[in-house]
Amino acid sequence: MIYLISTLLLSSVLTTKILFVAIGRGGSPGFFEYMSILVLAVLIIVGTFNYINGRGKQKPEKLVVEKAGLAKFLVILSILFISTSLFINFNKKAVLWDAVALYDARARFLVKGIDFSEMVEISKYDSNNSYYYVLYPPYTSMVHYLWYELGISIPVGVFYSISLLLLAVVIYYVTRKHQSLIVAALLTFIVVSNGVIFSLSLSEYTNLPFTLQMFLGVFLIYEYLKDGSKWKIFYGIGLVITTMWIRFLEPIWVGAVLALFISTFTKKKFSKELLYPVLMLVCGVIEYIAWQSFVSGSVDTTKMVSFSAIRFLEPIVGIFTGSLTSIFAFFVKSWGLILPVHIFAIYLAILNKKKLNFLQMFMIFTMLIYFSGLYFVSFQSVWWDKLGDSLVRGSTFMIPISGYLVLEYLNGKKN
Amino acid sequence: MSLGRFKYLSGNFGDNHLLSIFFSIGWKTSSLLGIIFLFVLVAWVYIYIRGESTIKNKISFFIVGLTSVFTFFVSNGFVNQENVNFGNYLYSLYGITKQSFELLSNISLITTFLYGAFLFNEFDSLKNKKKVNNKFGISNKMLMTIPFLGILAWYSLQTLIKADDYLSYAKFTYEDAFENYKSIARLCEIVPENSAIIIPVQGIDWPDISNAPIVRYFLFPRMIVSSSDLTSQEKAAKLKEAYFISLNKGNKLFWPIIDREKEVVYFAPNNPLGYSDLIVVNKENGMVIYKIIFQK
Repeated sequence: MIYLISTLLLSSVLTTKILFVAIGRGGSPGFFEYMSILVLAVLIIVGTFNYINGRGKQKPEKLVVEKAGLAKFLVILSILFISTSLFINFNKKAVLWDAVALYDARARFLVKGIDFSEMVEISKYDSNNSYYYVLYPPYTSMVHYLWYELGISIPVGVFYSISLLLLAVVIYYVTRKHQSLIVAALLTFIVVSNGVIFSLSLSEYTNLPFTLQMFLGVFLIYEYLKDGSKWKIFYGIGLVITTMWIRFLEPIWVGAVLALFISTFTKKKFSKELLYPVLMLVCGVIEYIAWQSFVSGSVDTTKMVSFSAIRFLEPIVGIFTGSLTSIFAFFVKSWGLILPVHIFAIYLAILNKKKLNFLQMFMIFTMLIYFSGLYFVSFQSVWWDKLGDSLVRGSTFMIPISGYLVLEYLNGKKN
Repeated sequence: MSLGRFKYLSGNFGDNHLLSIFFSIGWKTSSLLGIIFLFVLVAWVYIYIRGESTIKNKISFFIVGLTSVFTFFVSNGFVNQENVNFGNYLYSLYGITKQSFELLSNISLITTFLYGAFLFNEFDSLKNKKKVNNKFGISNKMLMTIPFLGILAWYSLQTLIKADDYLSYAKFTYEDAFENYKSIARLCEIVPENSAIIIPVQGIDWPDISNAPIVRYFLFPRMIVSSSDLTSQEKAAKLKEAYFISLNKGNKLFWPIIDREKEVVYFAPNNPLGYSDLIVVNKENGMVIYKIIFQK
């Protein structure tokens, strides 16, 4: 099941990438854009090859028969939440603000034959927003475009309810493999009914597809480190690095690369395994350059975020003048109650007297990336304090990870 | 301290800077005390887990537990007051912002969960006729995780609390989302597709209709011209002609300002643009659409 969902997600990314190069971008694609398609295609093929090869060798999983009453109840409740999301999206007559301004707008322009390069051109009398249409990578807009081109008559919001459903299935299956039935059902319920995640399934934003792909990718890498299945590492790399195709501004993928580097390098024996973090880094850089080169070719990027000596000096001086503390306070306040849960999930390593595992390292790096990102942005723009909501929406992939670690500790089942 | 600060802010103490500093420090001190209070509580839990609980500790824990539950409900009550009234309602009445109450509610929720975990452990120990002071037993594991599972459960509960809001999404239309949607829809009806439409400078006065990407979504392929880009007569002349819809908020705010005598229009303050012709294209339900032909 996990293999099928991963293949589905990677294929949809690949399709949108090909479509973007063929009709979406306008002009002639660069070398790295072709490379990023090639890299993803190779990762899917090699992953699938390893999956087929490894199937026979897999040990049959021992499923302990458990009392399923409460678990069934929780699963039914989760289904109820997903159905509600579906019902609401089926009936919606409008998409939300950011989708009107950007994600759905780009899809509608594409339908009318306006490609991404021309979208910059149509903003010529609106210089404040001239880079707006290329600020975010095109994944969700391409999905909306396909949705309209295929003539699907139900509202496009249903795609986000399907993403919620896939997230639920993924969480249930990955947890069920290592934990009891009740833990799998409980975690699925906790995530699906989470206020932030549920409301994301009702908004046509990039956050939920990003959460789904990031969680699944990171978890596949975590499982690879435990059981050594090669298809999981190839698929995991593919899923994590192509989250850049969904959201580009927060380099969370770097956190996963660093965590994988540390996880493989701290192992005693040196082997071929060490190549995977390097492979992930190379694929990540290709993916990064592919979108970045398109953006710099389309607009004057200095308008977006400017880099100069003073831009770097200011934040360093800020450490001594108290800016660091006030932004830290803002960071903690905006993240809210979920932050102690994340910190506890990391602290569990100390409590269990174990080394930090891949997931915990990934969470530490993610928090550092978010914080340093916010800190640097605070010196460059006056609207940095509006990023609080964005931080909460963008970091939802950490909720199932923390939930998994906390429940694993409580359940105490070793694997 | 908060009350004093409010009295100062509301002018009851006059223009006394010393008082201002005093109350600001007081305000910050009370927040700091709140954080210290939380730390002390966490330290108690830690001591309890290590098996050093005494009757005195239990009684103080009981008091803290009750206070937390009480504070949680009261602070949420205040937050709700602002939700049903108007923005800044709490600040205008008590001098304390909604965010402060939310912070208080969050802190008291954590302490409530901590107390809940404590109770759970107590009952568990009683049931199993064990001594409470077991170090890192199963129940202590539960004690550690309950506050955090409680937080996750609280997020789920919030979805249910807000169920009405979410269900109202099913009836969600663009008229609900955008204050000036009717004006945008009217422009779409009247203005030919190969024309340009001028919109106000992007800002909080007209949050939706001044936002070019939002307007373009409904009016494409018409060219959207932000007033902030029409900085000179030369630029306007280059555009030759365009359409716009007049906007107003009661009798307070108007856009644009038209001076028929001088034959100029102010799309942005202090930036008069001369026209050679200004035609009313459509006038219905108080909405007026103009076609402007700029002077060369």
